[in-house]
Amino acid sequence: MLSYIIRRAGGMIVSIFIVISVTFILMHSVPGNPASVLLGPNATPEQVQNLNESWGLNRPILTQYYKYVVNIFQGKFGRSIYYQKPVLSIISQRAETSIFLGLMSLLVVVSVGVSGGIIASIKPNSWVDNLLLLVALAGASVPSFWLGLMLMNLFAGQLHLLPSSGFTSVLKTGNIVNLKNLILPSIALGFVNAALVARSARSSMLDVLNREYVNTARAKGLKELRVIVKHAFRNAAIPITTIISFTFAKMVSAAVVTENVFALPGIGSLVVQGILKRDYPVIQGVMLVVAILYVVINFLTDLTYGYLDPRIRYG
Amino acid sequence: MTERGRLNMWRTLTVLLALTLVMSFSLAAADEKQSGALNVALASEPGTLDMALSTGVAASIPARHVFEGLFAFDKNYKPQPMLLSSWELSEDGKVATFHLRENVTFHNGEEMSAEDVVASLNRWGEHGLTKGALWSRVEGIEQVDDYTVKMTLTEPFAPLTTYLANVYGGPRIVPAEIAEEAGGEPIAPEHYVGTGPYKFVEWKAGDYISLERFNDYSNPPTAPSGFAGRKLAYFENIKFSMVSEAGARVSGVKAGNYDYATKVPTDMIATIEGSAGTEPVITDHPPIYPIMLINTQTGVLADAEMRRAVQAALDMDSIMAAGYGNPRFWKLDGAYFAEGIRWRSLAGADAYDQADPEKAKEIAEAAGYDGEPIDMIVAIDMTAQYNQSLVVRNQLRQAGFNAQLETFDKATFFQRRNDRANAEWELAFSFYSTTPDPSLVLMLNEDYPGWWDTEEIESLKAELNTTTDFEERYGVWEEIRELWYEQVPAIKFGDAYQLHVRGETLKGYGTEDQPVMVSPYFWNAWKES
Amino acid sequence: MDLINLLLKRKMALVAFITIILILTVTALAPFVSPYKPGALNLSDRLKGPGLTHLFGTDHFGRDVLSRVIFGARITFLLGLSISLFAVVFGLPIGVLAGYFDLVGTVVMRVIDASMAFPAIMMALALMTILGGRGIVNVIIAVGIVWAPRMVRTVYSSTLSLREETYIEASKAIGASSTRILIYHIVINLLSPVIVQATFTFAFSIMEVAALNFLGVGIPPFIPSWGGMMSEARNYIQVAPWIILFPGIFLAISVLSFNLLGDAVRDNLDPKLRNEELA
Repeated sequence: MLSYIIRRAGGMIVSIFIVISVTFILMHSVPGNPASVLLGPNATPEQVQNLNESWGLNRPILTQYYKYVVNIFQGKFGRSIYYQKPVLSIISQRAETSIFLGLMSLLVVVSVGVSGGIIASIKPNSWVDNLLLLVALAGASVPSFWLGLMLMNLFAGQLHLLPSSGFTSVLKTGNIVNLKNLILPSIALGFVNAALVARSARSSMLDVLNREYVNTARAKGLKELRVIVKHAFRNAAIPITTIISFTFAKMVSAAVVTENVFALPGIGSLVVQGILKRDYPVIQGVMLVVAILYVVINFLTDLTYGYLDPRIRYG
Repeated sequence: MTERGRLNMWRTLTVLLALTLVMSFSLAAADEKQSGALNVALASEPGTLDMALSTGVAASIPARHVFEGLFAFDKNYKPQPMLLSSWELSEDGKVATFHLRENVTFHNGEEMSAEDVVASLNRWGEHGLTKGALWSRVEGIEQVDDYTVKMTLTEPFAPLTTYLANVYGGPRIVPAEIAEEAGGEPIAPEHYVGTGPYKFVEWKAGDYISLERFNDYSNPPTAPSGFAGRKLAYFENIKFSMVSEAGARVSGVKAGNYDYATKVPTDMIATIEGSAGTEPVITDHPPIYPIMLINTQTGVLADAEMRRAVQAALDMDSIMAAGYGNPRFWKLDGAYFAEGIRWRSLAGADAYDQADPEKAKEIAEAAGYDGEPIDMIVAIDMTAQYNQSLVVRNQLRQAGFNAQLETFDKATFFQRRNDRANAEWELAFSFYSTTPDPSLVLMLNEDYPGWWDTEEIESLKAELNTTTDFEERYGVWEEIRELWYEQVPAIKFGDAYQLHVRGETLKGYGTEDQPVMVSPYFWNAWKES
Repeated sequence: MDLINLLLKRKMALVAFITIILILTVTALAPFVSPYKPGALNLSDRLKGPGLTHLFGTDHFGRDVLSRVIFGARITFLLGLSISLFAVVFGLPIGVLAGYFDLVGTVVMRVIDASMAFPAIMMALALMTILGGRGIVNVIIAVGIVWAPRMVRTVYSSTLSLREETYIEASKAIGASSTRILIYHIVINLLSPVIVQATFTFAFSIMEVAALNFLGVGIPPFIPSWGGMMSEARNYIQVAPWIILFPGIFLAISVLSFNLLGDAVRDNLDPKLRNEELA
């Protein structure tokens, strides 16, 4: 077990290193630079040059890369060129929004996806099953920004039921009602990702429901609901967990778009702004954090298997 | 006590009494108008609020509440003293003496003195984006005493106060130590210390900028007019949120999340007028000018004859409709300055809006045009400009030009457009706000993309800057406009207005004295509960 | 034929198949069936609602939305197809080699894992900005690079399991060369999972291109594509919802059809594959 964790950790570090290097190269090959964006279209080339100079962006790219990597290993993520604040503090400021959005969307994904999948699996190939599958797939076939805009127009613009955009910290203000700003975004984000989970839940359940021990349970005269919840679902949970963790990676991507639609101050909109403004340290910081999250979640998923299914051994 | 002394005493007493009355009156009225928070949705996030290094409208909106200059524009865009009690210009027009108002406090509690003004102006002179024509004539700035600053010029400069009042890339007064520490870099947000009616509180990256009423604000004695005069801060705080999606800004005002939203697509006016609780705000005072820059130095349009051919081909009606939608929001106009501005001149405007593809074809053929590509560049995030470029492309193709359109994100677009050494474009699309003086019109600058650099314009420009009499300068401007239509360094499509939205409870903005200006401002405004 | 049997057995797959064929037919006949030229500007007819002259209404340039939806299908499908091909061309050989040779596998999969750690849209957005401008080819490269690793992973894991099959062991035992085994035994048997993965790549990449357009990069907006239309139309959602509605509906129907078809084919081929792709 221990050697497995060490090996995985080594692999994770290599992956993360590749991610930061690629990000660095990518960002520094983008045309345009922070000074030209900040000073705007009417600045003279000398003014742009001077500002880049004082930010140290005119140094050779290898020197900058070396410095960047050294800093990372010292835990220094750099300062945002725009906001003139440490990147980590900006990311942590904005993490709250993304985390709440992620959790609420996951709630949508799990409640719609898992329950839909289970219901569909009870009577396979019935019209209920087909309908649920169709709805789930239709959800996965709609771009989340399209769904977001439609929901916003209807619920905020026309019916005035829910706020259209923005999000104020819950942790800072202690006001849990602020979460209502995240209802529309999490539906837009969650619904389009629920399909995958629903299909996986359905097929895993079908798989399990046909197993002998489930039939045994039935034969013992247990109620069908009990069979489904206690015996079948527990064993179907592994593949469902996997797919939920896969869904996480997809959701990070979709959240970038959703946060932009609803003007949510999260990590996703931060990175888009960062790219458009050429705020290199911010982009690198976010990519690094997301990459770490991704590998850690993958790792945790693998460990969860062991918990859910003791037969799996880590060799 | 002499006769004169007594008179002076009486005068002082009368003034004091009057002041007390005015103050108590305005305080009483102020009580009813005291409001809590104002929520404003901005379309884009500013890069910095340090206006010396920013020409962005988005930046200027919060910045106007925090920082002030020596002068400010009144509702007619005439510069009025703001941080000054008075100023004078020497007989020969070469020495300007500025008398600062006393007891003006910065947000850090220190009093503004001549030292701060000198340091701020010097920093701007070194790094400011629009120092150009003025600073090349400044010989020196010196502090005479705590409240007096003297500026010496090498030659008279007519638009001096205009340059000092200008906010876009213009000089704002900050404490000397902050100006010196910042140098060529933008002032860090934690050092945003100005003299304005609101002080900076927080900039949450990509989310909002929040300001708070500055209780020790020292008001100028003059009546409110545009950006100048008395500024009463009725709102306890102001929050400028960044909301990039136009639909979200409008829905937000409708749902009561915001009190004001900037830059809304003009076609939305029907839904805004039709829905309870929202009022449209049309910023037509002054309009903005959508303009197509032409590369006069390289490529097929380096030939002025070819530029005239392009000019002949354009049908401005469709171009403006594509860019600005609803006809209430645009107007064809062959003059550079819009109606109501004293610089307005229709000289040369016969060549505007010819909509004559046949003529264009003939001119181009005569100039030897043989299907060389005309590369048009535009930023996709500037929607109106992109929309116009598409129509221009079609019109040019109709006139037989091989017009090619390329779209970029803003940063890449500006980088390409400004790259003179290897300019790979013939036409570039932008828009400009009205400048208070013709000398500030960017296209006149030989370093500005398009790079209009002929003998004729150089000599006219020199004349414009050194002449001080308005009538004479107006004459020069008319000549410049004639030349403009002949040499075609850029083509202005028309006047365009922006649509903003306000919640109907927001009062005191868009009035006689506080009209809708180039960008919104919220002192003297309040919210009805 | 397998496909026909499958379609007859599964009603939903049949409907999806017919839908795709219908859309493809209309797309192929675009110049003949579309009532107007997709790029014809008519500014006096802006933002007209759906009616007899314009079945789907007009947009903010007065262009006919129906004609643009029809022509938009061409670009949209072309992109989906090119991106899937890109993914196959890069993903298949790399995945097979990685799966067959352990050493290659260790190195390649490390890189693949790292590249999967980039959120797809961020990667594509950064690539688009670097490639500069907004050409169709740039979009294919940017989105293709993002999807190729997912193809590699599918091929890799299938190869791993094929490698252990008895008949491959047998070929090795009788002294067949690696090249021969790879081509005649492994690649042939990989075709099914590759086609399934390509179908999903097709569906997802269409959506991704639309999202890129929404974020301000992507296909030049004057070329009619569904994603481009939707992102241009977002400012008119309150006054002229039809401009964003129709391309959205057609995009959803197409993606749904491809997903349904892919699902059916996959379930039929190998029920075990169900949960493996798509991450």
